[in-house]
Order: sequence, then structure tokens, then C-alpha cells
Amino acid sequence: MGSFKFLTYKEENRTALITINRPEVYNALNADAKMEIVQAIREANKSPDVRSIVLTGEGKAFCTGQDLNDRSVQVNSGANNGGVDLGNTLQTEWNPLVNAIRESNKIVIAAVNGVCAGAGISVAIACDMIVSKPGVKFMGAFSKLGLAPDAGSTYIFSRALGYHKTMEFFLLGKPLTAEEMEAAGLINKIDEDAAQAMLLALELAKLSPLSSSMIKKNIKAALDSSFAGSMERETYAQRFLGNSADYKEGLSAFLSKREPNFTGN
Amino acid sequence: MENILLEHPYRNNQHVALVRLNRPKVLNALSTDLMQELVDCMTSLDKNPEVRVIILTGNERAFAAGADIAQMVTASPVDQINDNRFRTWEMLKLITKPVIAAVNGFALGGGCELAMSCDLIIAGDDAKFSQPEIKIGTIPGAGGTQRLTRAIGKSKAMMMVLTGDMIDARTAYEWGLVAKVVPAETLLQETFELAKTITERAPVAVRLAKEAVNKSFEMTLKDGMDFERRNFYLTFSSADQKEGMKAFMEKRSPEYKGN
Repeated sequence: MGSFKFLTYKEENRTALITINRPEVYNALNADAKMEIVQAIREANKSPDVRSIVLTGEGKAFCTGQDLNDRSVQVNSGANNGGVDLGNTLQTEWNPLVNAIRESNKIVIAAVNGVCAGAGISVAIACDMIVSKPGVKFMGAFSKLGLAPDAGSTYIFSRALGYHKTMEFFLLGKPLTAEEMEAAGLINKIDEDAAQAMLLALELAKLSPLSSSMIKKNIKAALDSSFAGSMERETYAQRFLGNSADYKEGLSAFLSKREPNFTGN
Repeated sequence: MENILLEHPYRNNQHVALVRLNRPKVLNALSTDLMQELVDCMTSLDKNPEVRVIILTGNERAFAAGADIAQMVTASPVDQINDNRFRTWEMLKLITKPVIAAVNGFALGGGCELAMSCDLIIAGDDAKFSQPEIKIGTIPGAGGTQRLTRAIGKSKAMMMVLTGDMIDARTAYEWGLVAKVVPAETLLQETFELAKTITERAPVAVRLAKEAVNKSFEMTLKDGMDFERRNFYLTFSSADQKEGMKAFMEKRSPEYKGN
């Protein structure tokens, strides 16, 4: 197992628990912290003992986005000769992080323990399922800095909230609460108890890994696709899964009224 | 054969042959030896009357990550001429049966060119394509400036060839480089389904059709139309054409014998 400086990683009950650990800066992420999360997700995907992944934050915040003390994003530090390439920060740091979560074959659950801001929102909503503490605030802080939303947030929010509410959210920078996020379908469950995300992970761990990763891929593809295109992908997935040992097991368990024991084959 | 594997993976269907590039430790870098084995294998499959469609694939991580750079670092132009490494590539063009590239993972440089030298490409959704030669101070040498331009158009080809940057499967699909994108796990299954469909068509007509489509890249429209028409007439010399049309009239499935 790799050693991490900006997060903690542990495996228990077939779940990899990744905890962003920079509470002193409300879990804002510098370049190395982002890369560590990517590595941790890769590690969890490789580990045969892990079936699902929980991503959470230490302290009062889940993640507050870009660490603005990172020299690479500062305009006046002299480090960048008076210019700054935030596009590069996205291409080489944030987008790979968001894509690592989205492309993870194992389901990633966000256990949102506290405030999400800026690209921290993108990290949360890139996860496949989201459990949040009540009252948590989600803030698109970009417009107040003179910037625009990034790391996939325009895609996810506009699909969930529609055009006008998304405009309001990102232009005025007024936070959405976890309760409002849940009402918009952006959060699965609100619970005071942080262990809820681990319970959800345990439930997911009982599923066939082939099935859950195919479900994830096809639902994500459906958001970008036509009805006919979605049906085509469903056909590919079902033909593939229909030949798996897990389907055999699932069918036999169903017919004999017992719990299936899926192996991922 | 050390560098490639030949399989008939699907319920022992002998009409479909799967050729697998097999140098996983070097992401299937296309060494001279590998290319020679590939051409030998393809040539013998082309002659084998049982085989009707050939699938060419790599593994989950890479279709092929390019030429074997280790073989080229210190080469002089004369070394390259004497080596005549593209002779084997030219021979791939002589295969008359349909060759389908099934691409998962990286198809870079020579890997992208090899995929493009097949008749069509099916990609898993994690496939990545690029012509990265420019990044190491050279340019594509096996069709990367020619086949790519014909497939996706000048502007996009220029962007790829001048930057060397990768495009993903979805983009490759939208740009017309690949025929279909499927979930990565299902790639071989779905490529086989397509191959099987082609094996159910009249084999002689399939070869004449492939030849005619490929000619469209070599000829003026007028010459291409003339070529097509001759191949069209030629299909009428086959028993399979008689069977196909008879079966259609009789509202039954045709039984093709390949003659």
C-alpha cells in the first residue's frame, strides 16, 4: 500500500476509505493532494479485497477546491511571470481527479462531512452516490473570484437543476444546502451518522462487481446519448453479463431463494 | 509465433479467427519480428477456406503502443532503407478477407496506423488514439498522415499529427475514425457479433466489396465507379449470388458455400 501525505487510506469490510486530510485548510487541494487521491482510487481499484470506495474529508470540510496558496495558481507570486494558466491546472490536476472517480470501476461513495466549495463540489458530485450530513453547504465560489465553474460542475448541475437555477447558483454564489441538493436529485441520503456511507458501501459490496461497474458505465453514457444509443449499449452489456459466472450464481440464488455470492467473474 | 497468438475464441466458430498481438510487457510495441509474424499469420488465414473474417486485437491495456522505438533510436536513413520495415506493412494490404481491429487501451503511432490499416475499427470506451511521433522528433511512417487524413479530414488530422496528443474513443467515433464504441469489457464479444454477421454474408461478394471500398481511396470517382461495376458484374459469376437472390425470392435464409 502506498503511503500518503495529504490523505489517509484504509481498507475494511471490503471498503476502501479515503479521507482527505488537510483540515487546517478545509481540505483545499494542492497539486500533490489531488494526485494522491487519484493514486488512492487506483490502489482501491487494484485491491482484490475492495468492492467499493468511500471518499470523505477530515474536520469541518469535505473539500473546498483549489488551494489558492499553491504557487501555480497565483498571479502575483512572480512564480508565473505575471501570467497564470488555470486551464493547465484543470487539464493536469482537476480533470484527471474527476475522471479517476468517474472512470473507477468500483463504485465511489462521497461521505460529505462538511462544506464543499469550488471544485470541491465537482469532486463530490463526480462520485457515484452521495451521503451528506444535514445542513452542509455547497458553494460555487467561482464568480466571486472572477472565474467560472469548472471540473465538470456545469455539466452535472445544469442536468440536475436546469438552466435558470444553475445560472443563479453559479452567478450569485449563494450556497445550496444538502437538503436542497437532495431535492434536486444530486444527493442520495442525508444522515447525521457518518457511518451511513460505510453501510451503503457494505450493501454495494454484495453486488456483482461486473454488474455494478457496467451499470455505472451505462448510466453515465446514457446522460450523453440518445434512446437508441442507450438501448444499444444495454444490449452489449447484457450480452456480456449474461455469459458471466456471476449471472449464473445470481440466477441460481434467486431460484433457490438464497443470497448470491458474487465473485466478479 | 512468439509475438502473436491465434485463437478461435467464440464457441469454436471456425469462420472467425482472432489474432492477438502479444507483447504485453511493452504494450505490444510493433517490432520487426512481430510484424513479420503478423503478416505470415494473416496470409495463411487469408488462404484458409474455413476462415471468413479476421479480428486483430491487443489486450486490455493496449492495442499497440507503436513501433519499437528501442529498435530505432540510433538508426540512420540508410539503416531504415536497408531494414525495409514497411515491406511487411505493405503486405497487410494484400489480405482479401475483412480484417476488423478491436481496440482497447492505447493505439498509438504504429498502433494507430495498424488499426487504420484494418478494414474497420471497433473501440472499447477506454481506447485512446494518437500519432505521437512528432513528440520524439519524427513523423508517422505507416499511413498516419495519409489514412488518418482520409478518415477524419485535414484539420483534425493536422491537429493530431502536429500535437501528437491523444483522442478518446468517443471523439474517435464522432470523427469517423471508428465504426462503433462499446463498453471495454464487451469489446471482443461485440466485435465477434459483427464478424459473425459478416461470415453469414456471401464470402466472395464480401471480398469483392472490401476490394471496391478500398479502391475508393486510390482512384478518381469515375474510375472507382467503373471498378465497382466490374466487381458487381463479377458477383453474378458466383453460385452464392444465385443462391442469395433465390433465397430472397423464396423468403428463406440463404446458404452460402463461398463459391
